[in-house]
Amino acid sequence: MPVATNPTPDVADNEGHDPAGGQRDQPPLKSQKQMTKAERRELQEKQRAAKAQGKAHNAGGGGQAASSSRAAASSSSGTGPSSGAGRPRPAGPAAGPSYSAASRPSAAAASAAEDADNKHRGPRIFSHFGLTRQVAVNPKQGIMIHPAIQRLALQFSEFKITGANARCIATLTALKSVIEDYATPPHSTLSRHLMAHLSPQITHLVAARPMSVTMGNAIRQLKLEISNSDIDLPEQDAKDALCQTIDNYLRDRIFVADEVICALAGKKISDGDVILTYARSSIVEKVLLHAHSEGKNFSVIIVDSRPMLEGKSLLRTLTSLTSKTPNPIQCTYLLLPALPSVITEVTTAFLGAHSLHSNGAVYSRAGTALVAMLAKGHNVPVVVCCETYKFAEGVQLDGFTRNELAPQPLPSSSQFPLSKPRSSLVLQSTPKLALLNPLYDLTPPRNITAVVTEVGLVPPSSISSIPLAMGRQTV
Amino acid sequence: MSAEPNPVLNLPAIEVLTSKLRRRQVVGSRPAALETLILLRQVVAKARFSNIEQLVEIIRTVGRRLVQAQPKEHSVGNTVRKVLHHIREEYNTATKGTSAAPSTTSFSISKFISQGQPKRQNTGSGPNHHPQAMMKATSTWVNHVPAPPQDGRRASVQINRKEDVQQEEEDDDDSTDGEGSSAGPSTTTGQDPDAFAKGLKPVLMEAIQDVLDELETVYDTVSKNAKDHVHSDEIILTLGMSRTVEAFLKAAAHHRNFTVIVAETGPSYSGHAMAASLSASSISTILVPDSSIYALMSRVNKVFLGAHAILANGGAFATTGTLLAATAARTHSTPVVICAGQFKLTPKWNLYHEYGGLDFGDPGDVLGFEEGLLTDGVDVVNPHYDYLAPELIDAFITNDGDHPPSSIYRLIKETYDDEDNDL
Amino acid sequence: MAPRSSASTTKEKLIGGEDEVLQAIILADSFNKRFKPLTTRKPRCLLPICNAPLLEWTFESLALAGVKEIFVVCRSHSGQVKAAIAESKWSKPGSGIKITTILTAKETYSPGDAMRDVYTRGLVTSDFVLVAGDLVSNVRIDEVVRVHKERRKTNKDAIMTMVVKESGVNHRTRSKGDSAVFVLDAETSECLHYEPVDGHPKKSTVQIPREILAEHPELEIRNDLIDCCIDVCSAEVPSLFQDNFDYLDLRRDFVHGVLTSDLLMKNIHCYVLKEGYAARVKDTKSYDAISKDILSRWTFPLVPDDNHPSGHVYEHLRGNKYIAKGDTVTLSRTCKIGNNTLIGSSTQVYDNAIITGSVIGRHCVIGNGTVIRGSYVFDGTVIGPNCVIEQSIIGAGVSIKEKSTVMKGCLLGDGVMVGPGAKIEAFERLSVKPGMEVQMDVEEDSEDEDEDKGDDDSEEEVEEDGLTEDDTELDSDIEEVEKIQDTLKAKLVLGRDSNALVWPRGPILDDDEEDAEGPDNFTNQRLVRLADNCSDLADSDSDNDSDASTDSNSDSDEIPIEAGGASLLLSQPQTEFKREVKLSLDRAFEEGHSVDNAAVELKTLRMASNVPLVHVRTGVVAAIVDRIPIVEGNPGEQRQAIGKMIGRWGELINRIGGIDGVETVTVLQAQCASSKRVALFGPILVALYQQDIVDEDDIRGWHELPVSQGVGALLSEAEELKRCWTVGSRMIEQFDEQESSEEDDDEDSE
Repeated sequence: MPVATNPTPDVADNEGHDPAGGQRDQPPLKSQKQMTKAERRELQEKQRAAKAQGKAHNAGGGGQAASSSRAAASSSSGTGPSSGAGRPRPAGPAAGPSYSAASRPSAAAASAAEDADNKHRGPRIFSHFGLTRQVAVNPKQGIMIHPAIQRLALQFSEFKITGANARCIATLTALKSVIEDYATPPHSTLSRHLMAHLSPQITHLVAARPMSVTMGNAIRQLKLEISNSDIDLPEQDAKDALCQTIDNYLRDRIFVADEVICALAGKKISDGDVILTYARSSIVEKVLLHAHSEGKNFSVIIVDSRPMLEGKSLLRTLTSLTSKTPNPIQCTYLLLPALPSVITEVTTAFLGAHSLHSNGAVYSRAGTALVAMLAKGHNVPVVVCCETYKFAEGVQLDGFTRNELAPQPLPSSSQFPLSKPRSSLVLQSTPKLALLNPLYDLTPPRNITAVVTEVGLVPPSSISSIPLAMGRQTV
Repeated sequence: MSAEPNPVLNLPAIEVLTSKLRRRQVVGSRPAALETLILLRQVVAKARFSNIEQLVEIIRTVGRRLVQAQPKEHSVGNTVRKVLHHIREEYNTATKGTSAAPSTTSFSISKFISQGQPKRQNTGSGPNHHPQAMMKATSTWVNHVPAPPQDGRRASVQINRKEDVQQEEEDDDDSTDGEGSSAGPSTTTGQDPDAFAKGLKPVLMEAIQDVLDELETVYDTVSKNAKDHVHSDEIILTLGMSRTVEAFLKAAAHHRNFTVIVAETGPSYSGHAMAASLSASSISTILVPDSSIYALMSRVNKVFLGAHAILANGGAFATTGTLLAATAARTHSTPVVICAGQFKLTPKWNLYHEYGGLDFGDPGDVLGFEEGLLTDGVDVVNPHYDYLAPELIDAFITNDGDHPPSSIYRLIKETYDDEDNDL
Repeated sequence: MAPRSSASTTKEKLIGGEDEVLQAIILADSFNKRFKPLTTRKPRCLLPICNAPLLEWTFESLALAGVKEIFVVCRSHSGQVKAAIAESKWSKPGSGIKITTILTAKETYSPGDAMRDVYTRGLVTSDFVLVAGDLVSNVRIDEVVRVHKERRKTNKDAIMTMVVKESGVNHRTRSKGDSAVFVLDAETSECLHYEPVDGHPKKSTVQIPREILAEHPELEIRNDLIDCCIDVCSAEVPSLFQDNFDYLDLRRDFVHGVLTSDLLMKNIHCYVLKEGYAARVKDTKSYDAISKDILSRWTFPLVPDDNHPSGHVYEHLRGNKYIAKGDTVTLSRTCKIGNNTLIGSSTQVYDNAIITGSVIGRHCVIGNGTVIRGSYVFDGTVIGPNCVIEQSIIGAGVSIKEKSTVMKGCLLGDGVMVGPGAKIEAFERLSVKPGMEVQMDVEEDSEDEDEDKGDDDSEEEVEEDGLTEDDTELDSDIEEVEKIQDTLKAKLVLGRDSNALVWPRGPILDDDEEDAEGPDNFTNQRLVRLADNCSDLADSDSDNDSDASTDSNSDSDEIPIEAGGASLLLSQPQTEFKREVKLSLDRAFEEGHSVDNAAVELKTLRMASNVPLVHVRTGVVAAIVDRIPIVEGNPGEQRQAIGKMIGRWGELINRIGGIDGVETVTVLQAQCASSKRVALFGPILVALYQQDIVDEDDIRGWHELPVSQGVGALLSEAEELKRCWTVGSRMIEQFDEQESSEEDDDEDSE
């Protein structure tokens, strides 16, 4: 599926080094010994460039570290062939002693080498995480990127639109407008050419931010529709039909599904309950508001954490929407570390999901796993609300095999509270210090009591059966 | 004793420290312990007592007041207990010494003290050099001056003691002329109670000084065999800012080359300071938000944590977030190690069920006061500590060796005297 | 641990190490009556909040800042204040703080008077901290003091630093009744302009003097600040009060005065708190808000279970419940204690009682099935079974008999007895009828035995003076209340053996309240009243406006005088000033002073009652216009008359200390429009033009302004203004078409 394939230079760099990466001390030595002065200079320039661009797009730690690592990586991989020639050359022995000496005078080179070193030792294991990149305004010459897609790409990369549902809806609507504006060139059929037309658009989106599972599923569904759209159908009709299918998909798989989930999950909330939720999941929010509108009297504990601090917005919605009503929802807000102090009062924990794996593991906002773990530990039922179109094939073992890093700098919502002088806290990543903000983690099925889908409450163990039950092609 | 309250008990310094503790102007277990020790030293220096029970009683009263002022700083009570323990020990040895020994005396003492003099240059500066000199003197005194107390000898003994005591007191920055009033008359009327006090004080000073030294060197002693716990290319997870852990990791970094993942624990986000200082001493460091602890745990080899207090059941109080980290580590069966000085040993075990024990702080750290509407109907919870059950902990690394949680009670038993468990 | 206090120890030493001790002055008296009748027998600063007298909170706040010497300036009930201090922990040895009580004269009616008293006694020697006696704060004031001292080193004129706390505009702790708009210089955080904002009548505009905008590149205009009334003052502040005897309020008069005056070149700075908590119990609403803040720990470490000012020990339970430690409290098994509740020692709560979001004092008794919501019950109060008490403040030693209801926003004074079956409407205020205290007393000496029941800190020893003067004041109130008793009594049930005296609802009292401050009109009272959401005040209706403007020096009623587009505030002192100007000018005209002398006279006059320049201009123009004789039917002579007048006195307009043609014309227009000399506008304008007092650009500039077309003016004047404007526009046309001689110009403009 398109999500897994997430081509970043670092993955390449990994593969380039994994054979050598067996014992870790070697790569740095190698990458430094082999540098001839020229290469070092080149590397140095790369370094500067990377730094400059990093500043230009005021990308903080992650961006810089990444780019520098990229630079280092490419350089060291570049040295591969020349290494053979490098040694016999008289510069070789000179380079030996100059290894310690030369790296001192040229500070940038030293830092670069160190940087590479550091990247190879520590965070190297994280290097496959998706890195935030700037959107290339038009990536490849020739291909026209539809303005709707370009806008969306920017919104994605700036995290203006977040959340699996929101992103999926946005993508589909954007694609719809693409299809509407699409005209089949002469002597080629829509069903074939439209694919070719869409794929660069999609890659552009993915370039902005790694594709979410929901988008993947939806797009695959769309492609399916396109491919078996009737060839003889007049173009306009075909396009209308496609738009229609998109609308249907949105309606059936998301909007209606949410309503059903609200109704189902609402049953699990009764008067006097204390509901625990983490960060902000659109569907959980809907569930809570729905239950409140039914006149249920319960209080909510909102757990939140950096990097995104999305819980605040949930808190804002809940308080603002219900404060006027006769029975306002009593909210409690706390940060993740404080969770243990309140976990004992909780009756049920409602969590959202980014995607759901066939082994019942839930891939969701970082921190969800901790909440689920603690709740389970205190015998608090953990209910995950998730539409079926979020199902992802395949099994993921931990939140590590696939993840994504928060953008640098973080979105403004996730700033620290003003009450303290936070100036000390905005660290920049140095050669020795890397800032890592994974966005997701994976909650193992054993910590999940039930998953609420529009087809009912299912135990995580039987998630895998649902696609079959719904008919294969729908997921 | 209880008849007329001992003048030392309304020492201004006591009031100052209590209010500082109440107002959270002294925070953190080690600063609190230090302040307490310094206060106790003054108290002992100025206390007037005719037998050891009185002295103990005085110290306990002071301790009680301090503990009542801030029950959440356990190290205060611990320090008091430890001091009491040491004082009793010293007293016993000293009295034993005096009870059995020949009588060729006051002369030799002065000689030994003068021998003590050169020591003063090479032993370091500050208040701790006198007691070390004294230690020389007293130890020798114990060997050479072992006569049953008779007035003549006692008097001469007392002279030497007095001058040293006064030197000691002059070292106390806070000790002022008030001390003159307490010590002055006592010498002129050299009757028994003061004589006893004078005789004993230097020993006690030394005892307290030992505690002080231990406290000052605690970080080094804790991290002395760090390299046995950390190995090359390991990935260590720690959390928040714990000076002990910081020192420990830095010590390990001299021998090993490893990566540290630091979780910034909100709302204090002290992890940032930790990460900064570790990376400054060229340990490759990764700073992560609390939320990603679980995700990263599968790659972590060991978890090193600090503690605020170690309880008798082998559990511990530590910064918030510790519990999450420890639980996550447990689910990944990653070893959890707690580095802490011995002064954190607390002879209580049932603190976890009192809610207030977590010490809830200012919600403003979590949700800014400026977000007026938001804060109105909303409860914001901001505890400072987590209670860590013993089964979540694999080992304690203290300044006297490594212990499993199950043997903490024994450690406490030999560190404190049982009768002090509640002051 | 609390990150706040991390570096504090060192700072403490630093402060302690300083040679001169840090002094503080507490104005213990709140010079208003918002807490009546709770404050009839007890000073406000001794009202308990979370079971500790406000004064103790204030002391603690100051002690946190390492203040070493405190002067408590108190006026009414000074005896009680003294006693309270005497037996509080602060006067114990070792508290490290020296507290002196200052007894000001009976006729101290305002903070200003108090400051003058401070000056005459020469209490302060160096920079000092000035706070009110009802402050709750955990701010490190010493930090502010340090900053202040730093600033003083460079700039001697920085006489004061106001501490303000950043908060949302709608924060519960931010008083809606009287807040203020601060105009700060962005980098120096100097306070350039201070504009008090009364919650009612609604104030939508703030006027900022032009020169400020001119002088300062970057301004912060902030309406989201809580004024903590913590001022770090330098020693000359009291003397300033001494010099300007008319300063009453610290903010509305002093700050405003200092900032607007241009002869005492002093400036005032602000210290905007991001960290820490500070607020004043100004009124019942803020009392409620601050209690809530304390209970939900915003004031950490100043919280009941940690550092309770009067040393009670509470246990902190889940949901911010605080129960007094040492199981003196008796809670029935079936009673419900809700969140954010504090229950004092040896209080008894019986079966099925429900207490939520409330503070219960010590030695209280809550009967079976009684419900208490969001209320504050002081010590020693007995509430019978099956009562309902909503969002009210119940004084000490009150006894409410069974089946009584107290609606929201009520204040029950100490020792009141109501019930059984009493029904007390919302926002009622009850106190004890004189001579009807529980133990009857021979003569009207209710003072000390009321305290025995009341604040059970033993305050028997009340000095005579403290007592008598209070009674005199008390009687005045009591009498005027008693006059109207029966009318008030009619509408509510007090129950059989009630000794209550019903206080009139707001307006009746407030109108004849001689010393009503700006914000003390009734509608404002409502804004600062406990549990009053003022939903009906959402849109300010006009009749309320009228009664708002009745009270004295409230500068919140706008009389539109058009000046450079900014409508100015004109109020008593300024009208006063206008008269002065007129007089002096008349003299000048009679005795034919030279223009210079007249100008000088005006300048000094302006300095004396420092008013903006435009008022002077208004005065001058008015005077001149009024003196122009109206010649009927002969334009020529009329013109001569005008020419003569303007020729003689015209330049005075530009000699009063600032030239602003546009303003002149605007003022002239307004003047003509308001008087019956509309016809003269044209000619005068021409004359001014001829005398080069105004030039073409000014007229054009004036002509641009919307206000000069009578926009936003009163209807009566609107069309007059319009007329003038049309005249002006004709003139402009003249300018436009041909720059010819003025003669024919004004031909047409007639």
